[in-house]
Amino acid sequence: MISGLTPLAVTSVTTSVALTVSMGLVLIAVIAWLARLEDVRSYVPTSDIGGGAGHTEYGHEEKPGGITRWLTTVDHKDIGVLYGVYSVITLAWGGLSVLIMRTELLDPPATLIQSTTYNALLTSHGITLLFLFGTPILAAFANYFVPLLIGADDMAFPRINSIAFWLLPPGALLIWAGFFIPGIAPSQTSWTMYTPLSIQQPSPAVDLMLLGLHLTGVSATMGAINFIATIFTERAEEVSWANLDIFSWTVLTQSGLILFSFPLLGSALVMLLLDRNFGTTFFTVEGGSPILWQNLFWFFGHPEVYILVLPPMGLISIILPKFSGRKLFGFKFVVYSTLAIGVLSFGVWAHHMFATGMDPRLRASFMAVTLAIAVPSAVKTFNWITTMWNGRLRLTAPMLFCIGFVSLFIIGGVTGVFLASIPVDLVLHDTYYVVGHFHFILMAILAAVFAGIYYWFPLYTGKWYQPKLAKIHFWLFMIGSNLTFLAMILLGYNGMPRRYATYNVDIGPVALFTDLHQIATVGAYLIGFSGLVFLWNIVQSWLEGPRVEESDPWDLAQDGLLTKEWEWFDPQQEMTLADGGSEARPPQSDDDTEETT
Amino acid sequence: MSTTEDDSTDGHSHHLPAVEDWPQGFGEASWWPFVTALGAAGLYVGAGLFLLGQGDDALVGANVGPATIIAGVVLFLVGLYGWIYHGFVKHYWSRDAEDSTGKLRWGMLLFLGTEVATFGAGFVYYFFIRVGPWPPGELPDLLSSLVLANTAILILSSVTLHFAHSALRNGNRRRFAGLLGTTVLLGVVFLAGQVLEYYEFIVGEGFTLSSGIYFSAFFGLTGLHGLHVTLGVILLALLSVRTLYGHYSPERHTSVSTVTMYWHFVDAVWIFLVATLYVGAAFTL
Amino acid sequence: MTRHRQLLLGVVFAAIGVSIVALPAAAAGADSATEALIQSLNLKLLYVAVPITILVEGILIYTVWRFRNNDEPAPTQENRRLEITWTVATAIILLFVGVASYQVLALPAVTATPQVTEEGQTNATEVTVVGQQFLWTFKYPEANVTSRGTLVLPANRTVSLNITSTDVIHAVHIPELGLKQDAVPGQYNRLQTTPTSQGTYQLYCAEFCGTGHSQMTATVKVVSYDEYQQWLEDQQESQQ
Repeated sequence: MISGLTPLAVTSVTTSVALTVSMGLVLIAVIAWLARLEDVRSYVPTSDIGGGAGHTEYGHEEKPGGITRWLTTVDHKDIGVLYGVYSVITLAWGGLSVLIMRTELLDPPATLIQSTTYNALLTSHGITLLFLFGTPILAAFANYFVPLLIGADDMAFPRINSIAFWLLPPGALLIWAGFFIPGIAPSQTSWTMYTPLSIQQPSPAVDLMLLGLHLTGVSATMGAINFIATIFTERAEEVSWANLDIFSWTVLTQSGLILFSFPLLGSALVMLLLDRNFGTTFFTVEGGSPILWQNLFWFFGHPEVYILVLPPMGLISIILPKFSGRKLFGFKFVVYSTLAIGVLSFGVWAHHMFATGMDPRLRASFMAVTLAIAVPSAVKTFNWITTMWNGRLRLTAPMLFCIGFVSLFIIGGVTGVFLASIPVDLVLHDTYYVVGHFHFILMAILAAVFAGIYYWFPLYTGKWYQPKLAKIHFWLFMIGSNLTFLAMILLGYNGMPRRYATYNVDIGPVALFTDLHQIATVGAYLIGFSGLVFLWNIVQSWLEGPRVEESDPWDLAQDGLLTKEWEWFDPQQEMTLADGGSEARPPQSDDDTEETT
Repeated sequence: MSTTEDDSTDGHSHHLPAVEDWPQGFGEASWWPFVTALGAAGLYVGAGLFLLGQGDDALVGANVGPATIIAGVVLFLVGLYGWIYHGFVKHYWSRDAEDSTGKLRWGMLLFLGTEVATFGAGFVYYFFIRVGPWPPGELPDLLSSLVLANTAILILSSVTLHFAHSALRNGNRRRFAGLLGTTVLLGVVFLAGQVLEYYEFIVGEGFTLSSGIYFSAFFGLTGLHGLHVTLGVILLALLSVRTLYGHYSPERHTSVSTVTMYWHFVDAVWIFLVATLYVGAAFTL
Repeated sequence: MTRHRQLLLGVVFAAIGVSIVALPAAAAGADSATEALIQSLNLKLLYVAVPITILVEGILIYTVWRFRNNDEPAPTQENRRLEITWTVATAIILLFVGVASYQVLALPAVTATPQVTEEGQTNATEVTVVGQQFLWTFKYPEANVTSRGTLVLPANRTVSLNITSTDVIHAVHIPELGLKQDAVPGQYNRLQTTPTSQGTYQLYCAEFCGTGHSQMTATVKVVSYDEYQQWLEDQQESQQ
């Protein structure tokens, strides 16, 4: 039947099939574990607990039990949890890959891994964390909380919501395929996939990665359409545009950015695939030129930065006031600045291309817009600080991470202004300075994600996390981040180029590079260790943590800050109590606040 | 709590979105998205396997990829069928009329927004090369009578669809059905015309996807547009089938209006495409 | 009256002029005209940015410290004037960054345009820099000399680098001379500078170009004009 099938090919087919199957089994095992986890949670009316008294008149139970529940769910909360679990897995891979790289960089020559492996990890680290972690983890929050915050029953299109998630795991497998299919080298294009390098690389892993990226892009676009439609059409009657919460505003703006940037990237990826395999000339030197790829890529790529940062800003704007005991200062201005960032973000892409020899006048105008976009970001920062001023600060884990966000964001923002200045950028471009700068922003984003995870932990698990571990997590994370990325800023100032597997250069300051790299590596280990503490904390607390007994676990009502998502939490609580499943425990929130006061 | 049995999709309490779906008996569970996603993933994995099956030292057989693609397409269509059937068709008669019109129109509008970006990348390439030295080599006769006829057909199909929709809103279902059928027919004729043009270029004159910088843009953009027309014809055909089953009335025409939006959009893209890619390439100022 | 004003203006302009001349000189250790310009701009930005960063971080920490035990939160009151003030203040600081950058940007040592035909630059030393995986080649078209891995430049002369690539994108990166420009296949990018101190500098490839990216380095030697001429002659002889 298949004429060209050699014995060798047969073996490799079997191996790859076996690998695919085993990866699938891992995924199913994770889901099964999740399902088991779910059995521990008794407050959710799953089928095995029998839908509760109020549900028999429906003629329907809400969800089937076990693994089927997770494969078939169209409930936005379940899908949010799926996105969350998926993101934790991808975060683990992204973090692990960079720890290998940082270990390699402890000394100048290639000792631990070869350059090819380093470059493959470098590519995977960037792509995994930007496409497979960054966008999905924000979708996790948006899925779970936007419908609750706006008083909607569910997303506008629950089934599209589900399909958008289920496109992600196969997308991730395609993107990582180069690592586990024997016989092909993993993709080594760096996450920017600049042509002609990405056309020239012979490994089919690059094709698989492009296909996987396209698939995840389709998923992100479907999600964005869904969020916009939900916020426009599914708001409860009492939720008007004037009192729409800040997180939903940022998700709305983010989805608007996704709407135009991801499909454009999708087309560019297909064009690159055609260039690689079918002899087209979209990004070749004689055709559209390598610069065209950069234009299209960054027209997507820069909005992508704001796609990643806007919802975290929303998280901060919603969580930080809760623990300041007062409302967000300058709500309107925070919304305006969000919209301003959304609009301006499409006009700054060429600041990634200042060194490509573009027209000087064009270059200057991109510098102007880039400087302008710093204004709304600064406005937000001032608003957050002013919110805390005169407040009653409760330094719980989510609040600490909010403060951590602001602190990291300030450094990330100021270092960014230097890169906007073209002459300075010409020296710092493609050095570790850039890596340090954007990782300050990314670490801020991560801090906001942790803030969200801890803040809503009682809501989506019904349990309390361990506040001590959360604080250890915070301090390790902050110290590690500052150590690593300040060292990188200094590396950049001394000329160390990025994406270097080795740095045993002849003339450059190798000794200084080595010292700074070692500091950065130590910091990276601290961050890695903080990640383990975090993982242990959430898994252990989810399984065995003390049950949340009150409907307002953070005592928000006393300051009039109890938002809608906790209203949903309330009836779920009653159901638990009706079950009579657990003995009473002292409310953990007191412990949590006690330590800080 | 909703008091109606079954189909209580619009109570004031928690809304259950998937009461009819398989697996039955659950309000918030449906296999269809998972099946559809699996099918779509099969398409991508199949494309990957196809590329792995190329060359002398291919890792998989040359047929593995296409087979996976076909399996993926089948699975995808099964998923979509179940989805559309349970989501829209099955309880067409028992559901509130304007239940989800607003969000579906929003959905289509947003989707068309993403389409602008999808086509945008291709057009940006074309403009990039068009401002360079022109013509970039031998070009075929672009403004043939075939293209003009095809353009006329597509514009006409937009007109017929528009009047079909207004006929429906005026309650003239007979006229609606007739004009809708005409639109489907015109769409098919357009596609046949495109196939004929491709045949003439590829077989007749030897211009293929890899024949030079213009043909990357030409086949890329017309191919992408052709895929969109194909999808449009399928959607219109679905509307026709549902019309035969007696669906749609002046009050109930959400899918007619969303598909109409899509079809007009595809038509507009074609006009822009003819103006730039055909006329714009044939004339040099 | 008007004379006074003119005098005042004159003083102001003189002060600006002196500071423009003085700042690059103050930027100690600059090894080329380009580096001097960029370093002094970077210093200016640092003078503004570092205090602002410390101030804002300080306010943040102070706020946390001061209000951590506060029992009576004051209700949030909107303050439009405050919002407008910090928006405008940020805008003014960024305007300063923009103007300062633009002044440096417009100079040929930072933005070299292919049409530089000013007096005194006709004798600029032309070097064609070609990147290919994973090697730098330097061609001296006037002397018909080709050098691999080593770029020799005369000190205190205007040099002009014409940068291109034969395969994928590379980038010339000589941090100690403040030079960076992408080497893009199919196009020539230009750098222009005047190396001011003799010495040996590291040239890196700064655009990810594949497996050997981190090994794609070269040596830049800035020597006196006489030594430079001598080197060219030696190369000509050995390449005959």
